[in-house]
Amino acid sequence: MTSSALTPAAAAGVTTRGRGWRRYPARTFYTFVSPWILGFLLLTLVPIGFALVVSFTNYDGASSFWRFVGFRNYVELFTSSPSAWQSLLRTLAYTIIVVPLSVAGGLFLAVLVNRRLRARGVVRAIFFIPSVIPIVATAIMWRLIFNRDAGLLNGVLSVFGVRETIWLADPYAFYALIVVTLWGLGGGMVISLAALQDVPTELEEAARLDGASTWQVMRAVVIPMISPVLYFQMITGIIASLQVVVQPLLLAQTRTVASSQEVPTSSTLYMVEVYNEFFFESRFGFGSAMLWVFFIAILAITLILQWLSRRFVFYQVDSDQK
Amino acid sequence: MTQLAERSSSRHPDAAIPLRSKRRNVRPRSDRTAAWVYISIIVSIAIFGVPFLYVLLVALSTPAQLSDGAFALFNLSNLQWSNFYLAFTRIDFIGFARTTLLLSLIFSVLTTASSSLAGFAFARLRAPGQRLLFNIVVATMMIPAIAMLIPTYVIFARLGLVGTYWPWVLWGLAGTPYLIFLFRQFFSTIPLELEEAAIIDGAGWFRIYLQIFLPLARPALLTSFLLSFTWTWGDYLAPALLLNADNTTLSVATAAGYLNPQGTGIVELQAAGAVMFLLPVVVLFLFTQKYFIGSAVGSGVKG
Amino acid sequence: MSIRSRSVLAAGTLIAVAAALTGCSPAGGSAGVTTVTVMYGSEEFAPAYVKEFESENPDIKITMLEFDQTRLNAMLTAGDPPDLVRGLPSANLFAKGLAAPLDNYLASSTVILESDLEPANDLWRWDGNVRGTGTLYGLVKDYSPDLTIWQNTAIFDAAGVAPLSTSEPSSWDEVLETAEALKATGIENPLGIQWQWGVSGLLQTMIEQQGGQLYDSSLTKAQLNTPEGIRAIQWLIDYGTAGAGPTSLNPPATGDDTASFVTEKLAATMTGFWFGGNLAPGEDTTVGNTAQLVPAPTFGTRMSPILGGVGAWIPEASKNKDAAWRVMEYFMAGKPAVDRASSGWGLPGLTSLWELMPSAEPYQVQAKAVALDEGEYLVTLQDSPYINSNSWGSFLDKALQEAIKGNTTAEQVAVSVEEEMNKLLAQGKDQLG
Repeated sequence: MTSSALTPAAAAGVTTRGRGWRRYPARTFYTFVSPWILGFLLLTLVPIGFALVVSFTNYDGASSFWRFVGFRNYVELFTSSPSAWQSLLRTLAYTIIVVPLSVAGGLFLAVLVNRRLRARGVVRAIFFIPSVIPIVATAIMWRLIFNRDAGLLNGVLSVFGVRETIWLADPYAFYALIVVTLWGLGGGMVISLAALQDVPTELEEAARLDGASTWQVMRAVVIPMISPVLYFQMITGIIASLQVVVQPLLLAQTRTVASSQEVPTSSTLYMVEVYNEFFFESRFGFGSAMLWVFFIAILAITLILQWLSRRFVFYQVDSDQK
Repeated sequence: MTQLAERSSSRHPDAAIPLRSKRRNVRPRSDRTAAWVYISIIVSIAIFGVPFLYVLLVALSTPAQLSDGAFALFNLSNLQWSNFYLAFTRIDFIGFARTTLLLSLIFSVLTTASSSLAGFAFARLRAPGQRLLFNIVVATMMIPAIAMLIPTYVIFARLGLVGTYWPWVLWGLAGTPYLIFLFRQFFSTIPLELEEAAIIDGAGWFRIYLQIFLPLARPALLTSFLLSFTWTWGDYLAPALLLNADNTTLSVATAAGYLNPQGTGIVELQAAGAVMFLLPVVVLFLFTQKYFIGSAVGSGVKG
Repeated sequence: MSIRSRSVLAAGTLIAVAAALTGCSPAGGSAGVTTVTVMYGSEEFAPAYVKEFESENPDIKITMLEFDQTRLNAMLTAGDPPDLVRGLPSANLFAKGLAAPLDNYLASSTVILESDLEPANDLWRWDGNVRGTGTLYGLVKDYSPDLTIWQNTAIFDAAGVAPLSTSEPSSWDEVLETAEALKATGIENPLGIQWQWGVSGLLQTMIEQQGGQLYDSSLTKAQLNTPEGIRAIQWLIDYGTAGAGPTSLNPPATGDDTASFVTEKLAATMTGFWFGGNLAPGEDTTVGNTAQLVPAPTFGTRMSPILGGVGAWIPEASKNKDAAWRVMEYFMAGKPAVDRASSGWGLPGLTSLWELMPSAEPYQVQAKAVALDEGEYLVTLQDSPYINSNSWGSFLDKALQEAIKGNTTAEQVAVSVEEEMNKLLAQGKDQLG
C-alpha cells in the first residue's frame, strides 16, 4: 500500500496549491468523518447511555416518583418475566423462519430473472417494488387482504369451503406477519442478481460441459461464488428481523393508530414488547433493561456469525487486506 | 462501466484499466427456457402484484360492497373514483405530501453528502484509529433505531426541536452507517493511480473527493439518494413521535387519518390514501430503476 | 465549478434550508401572545373552533396536536407537555402529580360555575385516596351512562321476543337470556356490548353491583377470585360462548356496532346514551323510529356508572396554565359545548346546557328521560392509583378468549387475572411509595 504521506512530489519539495491536506491525511480523515462522529456521539451514544442509566431505575417516564433500584430490572427480566421471554422466543422463531426464506427466495427470483426473458425489466420491477414502498401502505394493503369480511384471502378460501378465519388475530397473526415480511423478498433479489452477474460464465460453462445439471451447477459453483453476498444478506436480515416492530403494530386489528396492547400475542415480537413496556406500562426502567439485554444478544449473535463465516464463506479477495 | 474507464483514461492516459473485467453472466439465448421458469414467474408475479390490484379494488369500492365480502369488490360497475377525491381532501393530502417531500429531500441530500464524504475518508485516507471507527460504523448498523428513538426524543425536546424538521437535518448531517459502508466499499475499488496523479498535480483531499471520486460515484450517489429518500418517505415512527398533527408526514397522516367519529378507520378511504401515498415511490422507481437495481448496490455488498 | 463557487452554492442552500425550517417550526410567542398547545382529537376540537377562539382571544394562539398516547408520554418525559390534554380521569394519573388542580380556576371563573357542574365531573376528583371527591383535576366534555342499552323494538317484535323494560333495570341474566332467545330465532348478533373497547369496566361494575369491591381497602390487591368476581366472569364467558354478540374473537366487521345497529342487523347494543347520535334520521336510516334506551342492567344494587368521563386536563408541568384554562372554558362552556349538547352525542357536563339537547325525535326524548333517571344511580367505580386499567384490560381479554374457546374455566380466569393485577399493583405501589 502506498503511504500517501510522502509522495514523490512532496519529497521533491514541490509546493502545492490548496491547503496541503494531502500532507495530513489523518487530519483530513478526521475532518471528513467529524459529522459522523458528532452524530454518533449525540444521536447514538448519548441515547444508549441514557438507556443504560435508566435501566437501573424504576423511572416511569413522566412523574418524579422514581429512584435507583440497582439490577432489579435485569433480575426481573431473567426470572419473573414470562411475557418478555415468550416474545423473545417468538422473535427468534420469526427470524429463523424469515431470514433463510428471504435469502433463498431472493436468490431464486434472481435466478429466474437472470435470463433472457421478454419484459425482464417489468418482471424485475414487479418483484422489487414491494420492498421499497412505504410500510404504512404495505400494512394497509395486507390488512385488507387478511380482513375477515372483505379480505381477498378469505374470499378465495371460501370457494374451497374454508370457513372465515380471522387471520390477524391469534394464532394466525404470526403467520400473517411472516407473509407480509416475505413479500419484501425483492430487496434481496436485487442484491443476489448483482452477485450472480459477477460469477464468471466460464466456470458455469465448464461445469455444464462436465454434465452437471442446473441444480448441481448452483450448488457447487454459483452458491460458493456468491457466498459473501448471501452471508451479507443473512447478517443484515437477522439483525433487521430481530428488531421488527412497525409491521406488527400496523397489522393489528385496531380502531385507530397502532396501540401495542392490541397486537395479538402471537405477533408480539420482542421490540413490540419493549415498545409496550415504555409506552403503555410506562416502565422505562424495565424497558431499558430489555433493550440492553437485546443489544448484547445481537452483538453475541453477530460475533458468532462472523466466526462461522470464516468457515463457510469464500471470498475472492479478502477485503481485510485492503 | 466502460464509461468509468474512459473517464479515467481521459485524465490519465496510462491508467486506462477497465474497472470491471467480466462478461455479464446472462443465460445465452440458446438455452431453452424451462417450463418451470415460466410457471414460477407467473406465480411470483401473482403473489407480488395482487396486493396492489386488490388495494386498488378496495379503494374503488363502497362500504356496502365491503361488508358483502371479497367477491363483491370485483363488481366493476360502480367504481368509486370519488374515494380518491375524498381521501385527498379529507386530510390535507397536499400539505402532508409537501412536508414528506421536503423531509425526504433534506435527509437524502444531506446524508448522501455526509456518508459519501465519510465513506471516502474510510476508503482512501489512513489515520490512527480508523479501523476502530469503521468497526463502530458497522456495529451501529445493528442498533435498533427504535431503541434510540425515545431518549433521542428527550434530547430533541430539551433543545426545543420537537415539532420542527431539524431532527432530520441532524440525522442527515450525521450520515447513515449503511451508506457509509456502501460508499467505503465502492470507493475502495477505485485504483490508487487516480488520486496519486491528482496529488502530483497538487490537489487537496477535498478536491480529490469532489472532482475525481464523486463524479465516478454517480451510480452510488444516486442509489444512496434514492434509498434514503424512500426510507424517509415511508418512515412511520419518527414522524409519529416528533411531528405535530399539522406538519407531519403522509405516513402518519394516512395511518391515523380517515377515521369515522367512533375512531374506526374508513377502509376504502385508507386504501385510496395508501394508493396515492405509494404511487410516487413507484413512479420514482420506474424512472430510476437501474440505480436501485444496478451493480452499484452489488458492488457495495461484495467488498 | 471552482471550489469557491461550490462553497457559495452550499452556503446559499444551507441558508435557504434554514429559512424553510424555521418557517416550519411552531411560532414562538411574540410579545403579549401566549401560545397554548392543545392535544385533542381534531374531530372534536375542530379547526373552526380554534379559529373562533383565537379571534375572540387575540392574546392566545393555539397549536393543535392530534391526541396520541405515545406522543403524550414522550412529551411528559421531556418535561414539555401540552397545555391542555384530552384524557380519561384516573387515580393513577392524579397520584403521579401529573395533572394540575383546577379548584382555584373554577372558583374564580365566570363562565363555568361550580354549581352548574354535573355530578359526572366528580369523576375527575381525587382526594388522595378515593376518586369521586376531593380536588378537581379536569372536566368532562360530555358523558353518558355507558351501560345503558339501545334496543330496536322492531327486531324484537319481528322475532316475537319481549324487549327489555325501559322503566326498570333488568338483571344481567335476563339480558343474556333475551339475547339467547333472539339468537334462537335466527338473528346472528343480537346484543353487542362493544367488547373491543374493553370489558374491565363492565366486570368491575358487576362486582360492585353484587356488593363486592375490585380492590381491597389498601388498593394494593385485586379481588377477583371471589364469588362476585367469578359470577361476573362467568357471565362474560357465557356471553361469548352463546355467541350473543361480537367479542374480540369475533369482532364486528366495521370495528364497532354502529353500522350493524343502524342497518338493523343488530338488535341491541350496550353502548350508552351517546350512541343515540348515530340514530339521526337520514335517507336510509329508519332505526330511530323504533329505538329505545333501556336502563343499565344490574346484578343487585342498581348502579349506572360512567365508565369513561372523557374530558380535558391541564398538566402540572404546563407553563401556560392560565391561558390553558381559558381554552378549557371555551371548550367546556362555549360554542363547542353548545354544539355538542345540541348534537345529541352525549350528556353535557354543565347542567345549564341540558336544555339544548335535541328533542325532535321521540327516541331522543325517551333517551333523555332515561338518562336523567339514570343520573340518580351514578357512582364512581373504585379506582386504585397503583394501576392503570389499560394494562390489565388486555390481559383480561386474552384470558377470557381462552375461556370462551373452552380451554379454561371462570375460576382459572379469575385467578390468573388477579395474579397479573397484583403484580401490576405491586409495581405501582413500589413506584409511588
